[in-house]
Amino acid sequence: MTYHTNEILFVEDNMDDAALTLRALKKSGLKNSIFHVKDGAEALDFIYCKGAYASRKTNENIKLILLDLKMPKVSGIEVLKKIKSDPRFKTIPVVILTSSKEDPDIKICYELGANSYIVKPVESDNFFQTIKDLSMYWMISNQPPL
Amino acid sequence: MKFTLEKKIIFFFFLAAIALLSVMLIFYYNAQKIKSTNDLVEQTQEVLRKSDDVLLDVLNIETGSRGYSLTGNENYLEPFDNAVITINSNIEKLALLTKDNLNQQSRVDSLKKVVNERLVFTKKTIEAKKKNKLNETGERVLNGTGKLLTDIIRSIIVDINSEELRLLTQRRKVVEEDTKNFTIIFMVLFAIIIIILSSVYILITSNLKVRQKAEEKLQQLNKELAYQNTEKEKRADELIIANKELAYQNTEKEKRADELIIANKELAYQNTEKEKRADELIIANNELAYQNTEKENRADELIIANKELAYQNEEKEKRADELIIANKELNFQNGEKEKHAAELILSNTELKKTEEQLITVNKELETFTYSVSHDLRAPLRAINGYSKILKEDYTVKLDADGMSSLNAILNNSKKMGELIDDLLAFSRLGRKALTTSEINMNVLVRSIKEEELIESSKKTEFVIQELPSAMGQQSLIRQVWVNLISNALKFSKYKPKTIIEIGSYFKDDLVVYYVKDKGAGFDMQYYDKLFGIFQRLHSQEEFEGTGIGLAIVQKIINRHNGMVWAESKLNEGSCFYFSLPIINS
Repeated sequence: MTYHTNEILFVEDNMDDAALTLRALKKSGLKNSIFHVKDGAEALDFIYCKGAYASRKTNENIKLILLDLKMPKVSGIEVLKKIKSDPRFKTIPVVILTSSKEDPDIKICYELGANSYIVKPVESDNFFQTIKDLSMYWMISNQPPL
Repeated sequence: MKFTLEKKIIFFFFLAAIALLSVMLIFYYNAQKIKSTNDLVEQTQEVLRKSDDVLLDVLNIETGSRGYSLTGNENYLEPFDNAVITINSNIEKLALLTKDNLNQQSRVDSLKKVVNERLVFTKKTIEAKKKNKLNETGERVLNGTGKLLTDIIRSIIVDINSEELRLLTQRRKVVEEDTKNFTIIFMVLFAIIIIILSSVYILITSNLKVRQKAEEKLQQLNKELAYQNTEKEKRADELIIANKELAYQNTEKEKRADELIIANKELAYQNTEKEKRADELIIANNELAYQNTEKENRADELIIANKELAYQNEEKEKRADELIIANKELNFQNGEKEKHAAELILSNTELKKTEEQLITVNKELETFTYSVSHDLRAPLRAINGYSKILKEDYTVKLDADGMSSLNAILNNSKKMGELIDDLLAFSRLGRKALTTSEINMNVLVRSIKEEELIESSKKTEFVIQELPSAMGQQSLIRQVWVNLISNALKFSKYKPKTIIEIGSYFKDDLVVYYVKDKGAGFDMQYYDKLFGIFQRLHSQEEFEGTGIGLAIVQKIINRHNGMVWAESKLNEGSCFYFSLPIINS
């Protein structure tokens, strides 16, 4: 399998949330290719081209990482910490997508260098609009470093 | 056996999750069932169409052959030839469509047989015409065999159609029955979810109350201990001063005892000197016996004086011993004081333990809030999202009842999300510390009025008096005004004209603000429920809302040491009051 076309890495352990988010991204007309991994450990394997992703060569095309926080094995915070403290990957925008605005981790995430912190709304129209807005902003409006 | 708060909550969540899952499963099962029934209905309609095709073919065969037989014009044979080609394939399709029904199969078989007979008969008639056997042709047309066969075919097709129509009616009845049962199960499950949510709320509030009581008790204990501590320190200081005084007196007495001992020795030395002189007098003046006796007498007197001095010496030693005892007593008292100090340290440790327990309870509450927020929202989002998918992608397969059930799921899951958010907002209010400043109420109320007027499309008249400033946390007091003013607008929406009056007055050392409307009002006999969380005195259809607004108002004002109350008359209007401390007091 080749991975060099993937432009968005989507990290989410809840399969329902993943299915709804992927549908919303697709319906919002986004043409960029999305790769979904099911926990933090898999996300790190993907980024560091290890384990199942040993055949990957580069992260050059990754333009955005969508990251859930509450995940088994390696949590979203740990993934964020590792990416943002590595000079090779710290310029990749990371958007935290989580279930709760009560999250005591909001402050920690921003301190670790998260680029955005988004609470997934319960109501599906709002949810769809939020996903659409964020994909449009990060994939179209935002100018990444050259 | 006692369960912890967290276990109870997890249990309730588990129940809620089961109920939600059941809703999804039932919905999925129902959609499947509707789909299979729809397939059957389509199949029935196909059978009806095909049987009509066969009938049409037979009629074409009949009219074609009849026309040719009467006129000899070959044009009449064209519909006949076409029908001969299609009729068999139409009958085969009919057989295929009804293969699951034995009665229909036997009807199709007899249809096939009669159609064949009709074909053979017709072909023979045409051949007779072609060979110009006029008599035979006329006879065949006239003897009515063809019409008889066509009637048999028609009656078989009518049987097939009526059987299919009967099946269709029967299936529709089953679907209606299922939909009715399905709606009842739905309502029951949603009622269960609402009950679970209420239970979770009761758990939170009771937990909050326990925490508050523990806090108050701790503060009281702390004050008492601090007072005792100060008292004991005062007494310790007094004892130290008394101790020093006694030690000083002791030293003074020892000094005087020493001086007496020295004086005694001096006297003893003088005594010896005088004895020496007496001896000298005895040796030198034996003759002067009188003087000698006199001097001996004097010597005796000196001995008495000497004894007297020795007695005085003993007395002083006794007093020195007494001083030593007093000293020991002082040491003992010192030891007692040290014991008291140790006891104080112990009770301080107890206090710290209670404080740690409080911190633990607080942390538990935070963890719980996080769980509610995160774990309850995720499945709700799934329900709302998948229902939306059904609505967007499966509209064709759902009938009106199905669509209204689906809309009920969408509305209820959205509503549950709002309830959870409100509950969390309410519990957050109790946790954050207040930062107060002087609030210019005139500016604040006018800005809220402008915002609310933009949102409400109705013509509303505001009468706003000059309002004094007050101390408070601006963001929270703003929330109070927003809730009260938006309530006034909301409950006036069915009145043709809306007047909202905002004013204030001073009472004792408080300033009282009020918001008065001429809206729907409420019955004062339900006043007790007015400020309760999720309590509503009007139906959701009449006035929207979750019933959290006034509960939030009360909590905010109570945290500012103020009070909230209301007066109302049903259908005439309400007036809501809240008080805050005056700035200079």
